[in-house]
Amino acid sequence: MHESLAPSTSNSPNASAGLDATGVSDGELLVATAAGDRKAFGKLYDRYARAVLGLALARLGDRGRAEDAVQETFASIWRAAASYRPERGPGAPWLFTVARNAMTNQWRSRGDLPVETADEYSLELGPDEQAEQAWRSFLIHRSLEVLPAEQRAVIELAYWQGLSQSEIADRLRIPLGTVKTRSRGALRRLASALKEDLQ
Amino acid sequence: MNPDFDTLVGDDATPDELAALRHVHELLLSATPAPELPRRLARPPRIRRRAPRLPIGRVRATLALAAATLVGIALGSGLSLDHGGRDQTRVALAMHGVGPLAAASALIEVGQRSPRGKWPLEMSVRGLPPPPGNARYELYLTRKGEPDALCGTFRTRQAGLTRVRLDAPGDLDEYTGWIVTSGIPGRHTRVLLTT
Repeated sequence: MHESLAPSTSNSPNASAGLDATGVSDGELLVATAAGDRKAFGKLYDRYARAVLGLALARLGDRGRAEDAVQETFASIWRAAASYRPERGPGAPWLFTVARNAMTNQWRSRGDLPVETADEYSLELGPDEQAEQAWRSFLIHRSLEVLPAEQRAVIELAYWQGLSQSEIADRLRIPLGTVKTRSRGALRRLASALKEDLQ
Repeated sequence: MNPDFDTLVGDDATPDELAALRHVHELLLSATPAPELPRRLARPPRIRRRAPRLPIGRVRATLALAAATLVGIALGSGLSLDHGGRDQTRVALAMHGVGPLAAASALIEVGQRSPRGKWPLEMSVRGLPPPPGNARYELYLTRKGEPDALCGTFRTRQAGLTRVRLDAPGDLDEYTGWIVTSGIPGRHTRVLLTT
């Protein structure tokens, strides 16, 4: 077991990619997973399960198959973690690649094509741009996991449910000033978490 | 309605910080909503660690321990991840290739025991080439290292992942491991994958 992965006491937003409030990077978690550390694997799952599900929904277009793909992806991560090389870069791109490969294997095994190969994934984007957009959405979904629940709720209501700040205040029964504070705080945390990945 | 950036951020940020926050704002606008995890995905899949290569004399003991662990999990509280209304996975365990097929692997997900006393399972196999002719691979439960109960036969595709649905018979606690063998008629059967 890797005692070094115990959460730190720091509460500051992280200045580098792949870190959450515990200060443990994705790469460190992958290395620990390769050594059989189930707690590290569980932390990776907590960080990436929603991001992988979002990617799977975009690629496979079917909720049931997407959920199967999440399990298949994490089975692959568990099996293949030893192939991750920290010196080659942070963990997020490696995890993204494993997820895409697992999904590709899944649709190949069923003999049909993924939704993403068709133009409807984005009518304006070519394959490279589609891949880039998928990567960015993956990172955004993963980065949301670094937010405290109350900040994440504000962001999701604002961006994905289209609520105004006043409506969010009503929905969450909190003062408008608190909504503003949480919004700013959330964007700052996300900017910090995404800093290296998006350079 | 898209959120207004200036309202969200206010006017107390530096120009550099403002640029970074605007970048995040635009990413959020372009991202699809992050999906909520369903109950079946609330926890990571429970996967057995791939067994290390051991001296032959220790293999049987390891298999026995693995099977005991499997049975303990399967019969205990275990997991209850359902498969979209299909069988509920009680336990998952990994198999690894042997000899020239060391790169092959498989994941066995065992479901809830059926009223007829069988354990439905789904096996995802990777790296096992298609058997020649009409031959089929065989999945066995083992007892004391020897194949004992046949769970079913299957073929694989040329490349990538093959998923098959089989059934394990009887009481799992009677067995000590799982193996996949080459069921090629007229040839000596050999173990290709093992837990």
